[in-house]
Amino acid sequence: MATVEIRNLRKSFGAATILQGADLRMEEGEFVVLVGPSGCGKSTLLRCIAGLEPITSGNLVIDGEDMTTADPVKRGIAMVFQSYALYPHMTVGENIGFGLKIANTPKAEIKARVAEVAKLLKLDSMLDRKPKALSGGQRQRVAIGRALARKPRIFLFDEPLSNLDASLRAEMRVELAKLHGSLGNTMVYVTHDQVEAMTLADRMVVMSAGKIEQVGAPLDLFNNPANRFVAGFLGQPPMNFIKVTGASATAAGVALGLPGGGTVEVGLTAPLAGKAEGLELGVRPEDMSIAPEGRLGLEVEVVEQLGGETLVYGLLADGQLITAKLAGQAGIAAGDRLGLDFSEERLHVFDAGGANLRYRTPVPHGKAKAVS
Amino acid sequence: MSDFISARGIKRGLSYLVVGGWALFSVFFVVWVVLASLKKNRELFGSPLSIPTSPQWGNFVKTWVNNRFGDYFLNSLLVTSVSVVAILIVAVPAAYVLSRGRFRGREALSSFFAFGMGVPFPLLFVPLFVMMASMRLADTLTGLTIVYVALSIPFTIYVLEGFFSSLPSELESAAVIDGCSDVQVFRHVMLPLAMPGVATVAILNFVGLWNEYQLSLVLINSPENRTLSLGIYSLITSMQYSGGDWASLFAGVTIVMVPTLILFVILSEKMISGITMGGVK
Repeated sequence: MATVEIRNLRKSFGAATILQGADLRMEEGEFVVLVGPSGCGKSTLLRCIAGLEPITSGNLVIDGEDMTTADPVKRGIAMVFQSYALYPHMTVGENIGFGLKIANTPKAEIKARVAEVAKLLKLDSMLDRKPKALSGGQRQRVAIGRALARKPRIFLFDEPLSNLDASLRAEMRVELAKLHGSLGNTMVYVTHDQVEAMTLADRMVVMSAGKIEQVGAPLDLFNNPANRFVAGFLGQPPMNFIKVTGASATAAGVALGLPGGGTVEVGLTAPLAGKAEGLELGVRPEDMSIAPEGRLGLEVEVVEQLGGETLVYGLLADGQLITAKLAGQAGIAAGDRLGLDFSEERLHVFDAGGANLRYRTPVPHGKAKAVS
Repeated sequence: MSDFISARGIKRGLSYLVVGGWALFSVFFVVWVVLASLKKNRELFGSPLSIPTSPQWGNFVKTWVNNRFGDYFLNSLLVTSVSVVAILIVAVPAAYVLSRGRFRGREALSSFFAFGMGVPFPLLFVPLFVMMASMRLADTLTGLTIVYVALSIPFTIYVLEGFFSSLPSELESAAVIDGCSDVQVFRHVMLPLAMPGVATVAILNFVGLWNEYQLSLVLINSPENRTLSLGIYSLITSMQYSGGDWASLFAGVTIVMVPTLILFVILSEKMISGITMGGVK
């Protein structure tokens, strides 16, 4: 087990800056998931931790030791790649034991360790096969086995499940969670799949355009997003952002005008002064419910019946498109006019710069630092 | 849809016709030369397309012993084998570094090697001869080998660079994570994966150097240092005086062809997979 600390880490490729100063601390045994859209720099950050990319500036500290320029092998890390990266000319057994062979481990010890790992991952019957004779799931297990064999301090995963089909992905997700539970190692996991991120992470790090936007427990991030990006990135379907027609400060916080004439009054955690222009109301689709006298009028355009729930896409009075996620099989059809309502506690208010004016400062743990 | 299928069919049929015709043409002459080498001279001119009634294996003995093809064969085998091994020893690691290394001037260096392919060999005859002579390497098999290696490196590096570039970089990263040094990544991971490419360039170089004539003609003078291609030429020259022993000449041509044919039969599949692999890039 190990702690990993990243201090103002920057990474550039020529003139292009990929990471704009990341600060993050990962505790012993934590499962940290780096999540964000393609190109946000999460894989680059992982490769910097692994030592596969030189760090342009800033520091990487593992277990209190500065590893900024250390060779990958000295960092005590193992990595599982998106494409598995199994050596195609070696058998499963040779793949798993390759790191030990390079470290000049005695043959008998390699054999014992390979057998141990293979048993753990249910690969013992296929140790003599080449990777091309394995299914996608089996290859992924071999890749994990190769990482396990060297008994690393830290495991790094770079979108390891993205090449698997949906059912296998769900299965492997559970396997990984179990593995983390049994090994207790620090694990850093990169994905753009928010389901993986939400289900696996002890803490999530949401990244965008080379910056860490927010760090926290998955549900904390979901319920208390720091900004519009995090709010929109987490949740499926994504949060609705409704442009308000007007805003005025009240004793409780702010009164917001809604399309169609309704109003809603919510409390704020940040001062409204100077930010009343361009406010948006954030409402998650699942926080909406049908109410004939509701504050939002919706003209239904498309209805998707998913069996357990119904997705309703429609237009508000001023033409803004929103989505509502209703429980069960709602009897709604395209062209219907609905009244929708929501509970004030679940609402978010974003200013023109994207900051959440209802953001509650969390318990300090990992800290996000936005560098412009 | 049917128009599309028929157009595709015609295109494919035409391709088969061209490739098939070409293959037939080549095979016909190879077979004809082998058959001619087993005939008597009179039979060769009397019925050029017939199967030899009593195969004249003596033609081969005569060419091998009297015309010194045994010596020439050994010379060619020595020069070609040593050259191919030396080319691979130099070009394989160089191509790997040029395709994967991150250093200033990498692209310029690659272009420099590619430029080497564009230099016509005849332009080099005089300077090469002068250089070899000044180093006392003219008219030696060592000198010829050095020239072969030097002139084959640009092409070999060019082809192998494509191979190495087509290998997934994640394998390299995985090997680095597993604790490999740069040399170990090359030796344990990248080299085994590039073997189809290495086999391809080995065969192409072997065939090219085995049949090479011009450079050996310029650099080799003594009869005891002749390679097979020079041997064939000397045989043709001697025929001007001996009255034309065509059967022996064809026996000589057959001896030249045999190693190349054997190499193709054994390694053609590997080579084809290598060529397609490089083609993907």
